[in-house]
Amino acid sequence: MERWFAERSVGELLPGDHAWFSYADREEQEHVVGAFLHDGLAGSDKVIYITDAGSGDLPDLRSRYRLDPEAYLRSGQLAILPQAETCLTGGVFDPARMSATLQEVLDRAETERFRGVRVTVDMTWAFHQKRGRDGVLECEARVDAAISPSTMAMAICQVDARSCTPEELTALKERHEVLVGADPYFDDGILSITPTFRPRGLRLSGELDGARHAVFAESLQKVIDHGGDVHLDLAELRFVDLGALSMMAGAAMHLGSRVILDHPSAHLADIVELVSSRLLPWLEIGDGEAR
Amino acid sequence: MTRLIHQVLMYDNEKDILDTVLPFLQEGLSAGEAVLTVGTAPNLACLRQALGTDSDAVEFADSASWYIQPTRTIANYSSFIAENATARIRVVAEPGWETGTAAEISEWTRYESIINQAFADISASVLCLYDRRTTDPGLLDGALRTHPQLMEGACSRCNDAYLDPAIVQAGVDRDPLPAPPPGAVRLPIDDADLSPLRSFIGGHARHHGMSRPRINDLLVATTEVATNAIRHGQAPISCQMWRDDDDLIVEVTDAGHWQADPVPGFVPPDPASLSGFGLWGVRMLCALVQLRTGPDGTTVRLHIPCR
Repeated sequence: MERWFAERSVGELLPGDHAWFSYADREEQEHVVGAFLHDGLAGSDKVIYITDAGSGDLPDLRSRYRLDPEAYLRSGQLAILPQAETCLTGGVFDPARMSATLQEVLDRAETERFRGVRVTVDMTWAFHQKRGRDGVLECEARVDAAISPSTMAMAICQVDARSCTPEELTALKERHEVLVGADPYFDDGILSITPTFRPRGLRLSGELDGARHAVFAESLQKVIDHGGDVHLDLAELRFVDLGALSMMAGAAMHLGSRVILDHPSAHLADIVELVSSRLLPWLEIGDGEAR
Repeated sequence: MTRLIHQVLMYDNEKDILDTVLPFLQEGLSAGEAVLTVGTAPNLACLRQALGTDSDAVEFADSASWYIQPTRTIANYSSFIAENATARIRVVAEPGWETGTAAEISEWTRYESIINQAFADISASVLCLYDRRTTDPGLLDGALRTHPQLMEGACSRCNDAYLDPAIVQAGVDRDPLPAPPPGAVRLPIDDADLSPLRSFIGGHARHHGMSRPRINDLLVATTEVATNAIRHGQAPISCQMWRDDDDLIVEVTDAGHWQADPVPGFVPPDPASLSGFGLWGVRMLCALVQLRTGPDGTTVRLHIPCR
């Protein structure tokens, strides 16, 4: 059987998508899962977060989106389901129970006349359960069976990449047809700017020229504010003007942090080399690896 | 503090080179200076042999790759100076040009003149070589006006024909440019989004068989000039392009009067400043950049070879 994956940003997820998301820190998780929750709450979807940690585990919707989760919990649009009620039987991870719960939630949401249903669960803990990886994979298959045929539900299975082995991550990835990533900061069809977290920076795609210097500066500032090295993934950038290169060098110069251009086209690398007396050592060419 | 000594030797035969250049180089070597020799292949071979083992301490470069166009040549010298920041510098500089179009001769004359300003405070002795037998009289004349010192034999003397850089440079970028040919294609630029301009330029450049790397250079250079016109010029702005022998020419015009400094964009901008980068980058990418500005508007014409 041919395997294929679609990569979508949170905003592009469609009903029937059972998406996979691995994160490596709280900010990355908040960015992606926060957008997933926000889009659902703002768009009158039923939103279900399966976690034992209560509302404390939710991304910070207040500061990011000025949304009050308590209000949505009271109205029933947002539900936080503890693991004990959804996927444990006698304290043991039970994939069959999880799929039954999910089906029930979907059916109820339909009768409650929500436009759609969004479900997210952090599967990291399940790896450390008795059946470990096999249990997780079985569970994933069942979630897939519940979500994929649905015309109103979408799900994100989260996993903390730091606490799984590469084999576990690969096995999980293969259970999902959709990989979900961060929404772009900016996308107008000519240029898209998307935050990246491993390594931290921006992925630029399309064409960057003077008409978009302002949005680029704004996005760059968000990364800079976080501190540390800044990686700019340029693999899909067809064009960049000298002004934008100068802005990148300027960011490095004034911050003392490194700005690394990852995967530039041969021509872009040539340009940087040609004007190197001006741009280097402020800019470095890289291959996407944090050093 | 010693400043730049910029002198010229117009030679008639190889003996002149050995009599003058060899002692010039040896003097620098014995003083522990950073020594660079840029020359034509036969002259480099001749000097290497004459220097013997001393040649190990000299950096050699071929004129053909060093003197591609003025902005890159200045960048090459700037790099050499930066790499030898603590030493006094000694350079033998043979451009190796024999002839060129009127525009090229005028650019190279301006280049020699800019050297006097750009490197005025560098502690360096520079000896430029011109072969009187093969060099275009126009270039020789330009060299006479742009070197404060003349070398004759082993003696240097003040050059009476030397002109102040401001006077030399005022003569360049002044004559009207020939009008674009009837076959030139034209695109108005009325939006800050330059993606359509790049499609236009890229499409026509491919049609003329321009190589992919040169098309990319042309797109970067044109975008820069158009951005400058949008930000600092006045509407209407338009772009025209046409073929001229082996070059493609792209011209951007606007109705504004660019109050540029006299020699904008030839010298690598200070790395610590964020201004002055654009036009310098454009000059680095193009074989020739012609700038005309006045009360009637501003024209920037870029020449890039198709291959």
